[in-house]
Amino acid sequence: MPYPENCIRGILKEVFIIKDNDCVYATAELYQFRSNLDRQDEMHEASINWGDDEMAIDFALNQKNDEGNLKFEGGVAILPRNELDKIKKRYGITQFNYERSLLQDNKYHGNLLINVAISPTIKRMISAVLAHNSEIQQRTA
Amino acid sequence: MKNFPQKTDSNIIHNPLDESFVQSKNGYVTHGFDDIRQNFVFLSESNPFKDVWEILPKISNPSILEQTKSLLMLISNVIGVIQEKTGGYGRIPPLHAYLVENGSVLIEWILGDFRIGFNIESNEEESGWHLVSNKNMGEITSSGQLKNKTLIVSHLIDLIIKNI
Repeated sequence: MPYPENCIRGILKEVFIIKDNDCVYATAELYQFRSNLDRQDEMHEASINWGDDEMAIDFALNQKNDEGNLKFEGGVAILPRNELDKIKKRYGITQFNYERSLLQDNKYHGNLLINVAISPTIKRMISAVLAHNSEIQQRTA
Repeated sequence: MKNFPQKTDSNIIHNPLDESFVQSKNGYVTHGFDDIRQNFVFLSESNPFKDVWEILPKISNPSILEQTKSLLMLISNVIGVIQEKTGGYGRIPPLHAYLVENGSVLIEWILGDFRIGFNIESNEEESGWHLVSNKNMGEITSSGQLKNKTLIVSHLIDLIIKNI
């Protein structure tokens, strides 16, 4: 299945966004990459949903956590895939990549991937690039 | 992509402050929280350092704490120098600070067209800075270590002052 134009990153907490007058920005901390012991490669993951259809954003906004509450209280960040491709092209797919990773209850699910060995400064810069190119869609009251 | 061209400490395109002038102001050796707090009070009515100030007591790693304090003192001194030089620095946007899960610290200035960040790691060699901009500012992505931090912080703050 081809990748769509956008991916969607859920905003777990409002602390991951900054409001400045009418503008809302994602912080670089929104794009934290974490280890997954099930992986056989050298990559850390940041969970996303792929924007495969017009329902994808609403699906993400309505995802629930284990307690049954809305999972992404801060809304969602929408990130163009071409920005991911720019990073991939610069660093190579062994350093940065993305994937689909379907879950039983989430057909949109995927991951952004970053090599564990990449330097912390480059990792933070990549997170900053992702954040800076994200469009925030906050949850309406 | 025509971008991601600048990966070194030396490629930011704007005029640096005079480093010797920065150093001559009142130094930037940190001795403790009180020194830093004094500097923050001096800095601004709407304290742009509030976020960072609040996370300092939560930093458990001594190396990260010391580096963070040192960086903040340097930033405040550079801003102080600009204030003296220009008679005011206008609105310095707030610095945002986060304790990351591995204990490191991420400090960010987020503006509409660009953002500047500092990552403070337990291994000082791995601490660094980055600059990321959008198409309006040439889609710069630049990063480097904090070895020559006086110069780089001066460059970065100069960039902020000229673009807010």
